[in-house]
Amino acid sequence: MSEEKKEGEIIMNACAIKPTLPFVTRKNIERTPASAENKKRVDFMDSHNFSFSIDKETGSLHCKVEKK
Amino acid sequence: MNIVKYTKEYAKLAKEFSCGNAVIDKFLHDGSALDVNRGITYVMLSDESDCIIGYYNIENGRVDRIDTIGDNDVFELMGGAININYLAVKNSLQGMLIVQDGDNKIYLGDLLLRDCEKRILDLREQTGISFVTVCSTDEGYHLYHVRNGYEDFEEDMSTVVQESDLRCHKLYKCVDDIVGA
Repeated sequence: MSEEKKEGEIIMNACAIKPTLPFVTRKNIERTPASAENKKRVDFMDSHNFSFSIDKETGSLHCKVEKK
Repeated sequence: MNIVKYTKEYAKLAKEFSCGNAVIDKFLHDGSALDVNRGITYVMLSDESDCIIGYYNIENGRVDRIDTIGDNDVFELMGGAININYLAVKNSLQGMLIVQDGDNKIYLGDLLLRDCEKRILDLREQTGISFVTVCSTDEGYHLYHVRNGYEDFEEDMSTVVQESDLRCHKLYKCVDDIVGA
């Protein structure tokens, strides 16, 4: 397995899980405007169509990305 | 992209979904994802609707501020929130690069989260929401914190609440900071 794929699998797991206790804080919550990189990524996602199909035999994902 | 509200008709597909985390898998497998009292679940399907690629569940919540006045802890509402209760990508598809635009790499988790955030922006038009909150696993932290600007809730959370043994990060983002807000 290449290092890039291994790193991707580690860092792009994306999992979120419901906490058992509420969100409370003693601090003021600050705003954090989106980074330029984040905006660029979001702009790309919003301006393109993504379609996915699964190869039934191999289970692999085929994806198509087209500009809207 | 085929992201739809999860209903009973997809329950058979749900049985085939696994993200590698037993708790997140169980939420989809045991019918909890259909319980509206536990939030609303959305699934990313293949175009042929024959596979669940990923899913997320969102629920109304709140963020409270706690102040200690004398011997008493006083809770004050800071704002309404949408909590991303669960978000996960199918195990076999995690880390798969979907497309690269210059230096920007896009993964399935990015697409799921963007869909979730756009839905939250729509919800804000109907009800008052100030924050998005999420409790990320260690493995998910990079997506939320590094790539999408979610901040750690509070470094010293352990002095206020106690979490389970599962290592997680409580994160937030102000709705006003979602791209497109």
